[in-house]
Amino acid sequence: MHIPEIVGQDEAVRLLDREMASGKMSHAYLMWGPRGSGKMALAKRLALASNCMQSAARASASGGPESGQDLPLWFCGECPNCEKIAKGIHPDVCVVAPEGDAIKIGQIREMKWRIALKPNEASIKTWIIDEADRMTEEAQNCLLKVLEEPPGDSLIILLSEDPGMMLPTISSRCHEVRLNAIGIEELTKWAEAEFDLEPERAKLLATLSEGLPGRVATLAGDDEYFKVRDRIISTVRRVALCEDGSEALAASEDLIDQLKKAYAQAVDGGGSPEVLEISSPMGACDLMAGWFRDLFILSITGDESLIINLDHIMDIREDAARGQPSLFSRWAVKAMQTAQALRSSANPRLAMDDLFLNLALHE
Amino acid sequence: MKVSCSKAALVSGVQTVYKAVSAKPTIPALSGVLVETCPQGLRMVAYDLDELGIETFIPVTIGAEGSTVIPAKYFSDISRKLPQAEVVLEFREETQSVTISAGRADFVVKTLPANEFPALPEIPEASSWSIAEGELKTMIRRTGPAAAVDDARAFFKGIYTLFEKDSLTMVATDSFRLAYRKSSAIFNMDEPIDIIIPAKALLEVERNLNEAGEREVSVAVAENHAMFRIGTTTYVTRLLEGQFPNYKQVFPQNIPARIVCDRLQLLDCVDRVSLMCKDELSAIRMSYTGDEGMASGFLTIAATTPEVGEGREDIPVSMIGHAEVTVAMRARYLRDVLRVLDGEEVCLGYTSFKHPIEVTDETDPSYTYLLMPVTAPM
Repeated sequence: MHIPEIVGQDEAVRLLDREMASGKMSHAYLMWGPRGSGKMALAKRLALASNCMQSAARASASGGPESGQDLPLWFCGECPNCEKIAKGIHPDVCVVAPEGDAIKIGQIREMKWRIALKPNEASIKTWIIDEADRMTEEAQNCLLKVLEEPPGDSLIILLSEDPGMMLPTISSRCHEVRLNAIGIEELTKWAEAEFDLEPERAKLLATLSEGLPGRVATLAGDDEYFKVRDRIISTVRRVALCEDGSEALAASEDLIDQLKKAYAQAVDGGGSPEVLEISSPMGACDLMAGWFRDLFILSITGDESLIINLDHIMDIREDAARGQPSLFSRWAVKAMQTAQALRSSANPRLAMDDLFLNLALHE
Repeated sequence: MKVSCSKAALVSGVQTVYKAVSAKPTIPALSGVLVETCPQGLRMVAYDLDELGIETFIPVTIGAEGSTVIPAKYFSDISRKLPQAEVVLEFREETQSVTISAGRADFVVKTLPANEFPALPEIPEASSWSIAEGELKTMIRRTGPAAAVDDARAFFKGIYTLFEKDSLTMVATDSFRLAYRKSSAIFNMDEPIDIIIPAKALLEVERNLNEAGEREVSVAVAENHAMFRIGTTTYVTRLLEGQFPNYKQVFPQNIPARIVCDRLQLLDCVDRVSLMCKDELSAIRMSYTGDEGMASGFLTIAATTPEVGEGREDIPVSMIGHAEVTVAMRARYLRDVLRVLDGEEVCLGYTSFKHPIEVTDETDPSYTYLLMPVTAPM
């Protein structure tokens, strides 16, 4: 049985644990943080802790919140409730997720009806709305009433990467729990143990994932991501300082083509969100910005422990020796600006051409 | 597993449980019907985890014991179309499929894993009561139609059910009309129990009750569930949360005028006149002309849709009391009650154009239906 593990969100976990122990749980939570920060794991953990039959028995046996030396948000993992929640088949712990692009009003209406029924087995009916910011406006309005006053003993947990996309009336009705990226060292240790990795590999994944355990878990088994990444890095290395405008343009065209193919393949073949991201022009530019940042850091500090793309350390040493820190820093800024422009719907081909010409002609 | 049975038994079993098959199953097995050999024959279960779980038993000859889950849609369609002959169901573990054969017809259907099929909630039957089949059917049939089908407030989609020492009360309302029936029944309980049961579940129970039947329905209520058992068929439903609105305060007091007329004649008249209504929820107008007191006159029923035209009809009625009757109401809400009553005559209690109309039937004094008039200008 796999129990979702929560890595490094001690503060959030302790906060929720205190609220639960003192009987001050809110009936609606908004858990927000970047993709891979462990929102779903935390929501499930809360569902487990609040429905575990042993946990309830312990709390009443020991007579109060102060007695527990247990882990925060403790659950036994063995009672029928724990087992079903962990397997994802508990009838009273339900997940609403986007159907297609959005969470539609019909889904929220259905949820409202089902949450109005008394629970089958749970002590607290739990409804998790994943990617809640993708609710349509009608769906959000439909949710308001039930969010304010869920029927009976129930708990509604909204998960979102970008809660600013939701109506303010939604977030104001929820107790917010913010999940942050966690320290690279802690994450590296966890990745080593969890996926049985070499320390260096673990550190690479921890750094590449920007401190997000969910992304480490995806990257640990994702060869396709590294293929695309290597292709981008080798293109950048070829173009940078080549002093040949036409080669830069050819490389830009070639890279855009390859990214398109990789993206389409990932969409068809159910590729991971990491592959989807890196094979988008924005993701590629972000990666390039990281690469130039590595060159910059190494050329001014010489400290290799600060490098992100650890697996390419030899290449970084070689490239860093070929230019000035100020040039690398300009490139990094340019790559970030390009990513920004692409996010505001710039033409990918033109934006990439511009970036590559800059690299080739060392502007 | 291998069993054989008559086609009729199989069809009746599948049709009995079919309504409880989940339309949007959260667990794949819920889109099927669980079949399982047991001492009583073949146990069949469908369960949507929400409003309805149905279990029934059909007589079979058991060749080999076992259980499986058969996709409901195919099971239902195939069983109905089978030729009239002895049916054999055989589950093959190796291929995870079931063979359904009758006469020279053979079907092989892929099955779903039986161990994933959730158990029906267990409801302690120690404190179960019994109600006569016909009585329960009438209760549900007369109150059910007033429940909301689609409303944001979930308790309107349920039927409020109150068990007391010597009576059973059911109330349903969608806030535009309300149906109330209190019947005498002996429950011998210390404390009254009131619950809100999803109307859909009760209407499914009602569908399988027989008005003239002599069976007893056993009812049990647990903290979160209610159970109804008729013969070998058991219905389980989750109850609704929430507080049912205080319905007693809407009953009009001291009704000044009552109009009595032939029920079917009124129903036909409403049916005809409402042809001129724009849609289901448009209103019809009703007015009385004639003497007052214990007298007779005419009830004029009319419907107007400006861009279409007008319909009008008079029916003879008698009036008890005094009032100038002019009122508008939604045709559908009146039709709904006229259809579920049995008496020859129906009585409409009128207070004013903005008070609810009280519909009663002399042959069923325990029943009251209130209908909110439409007060918007027409």
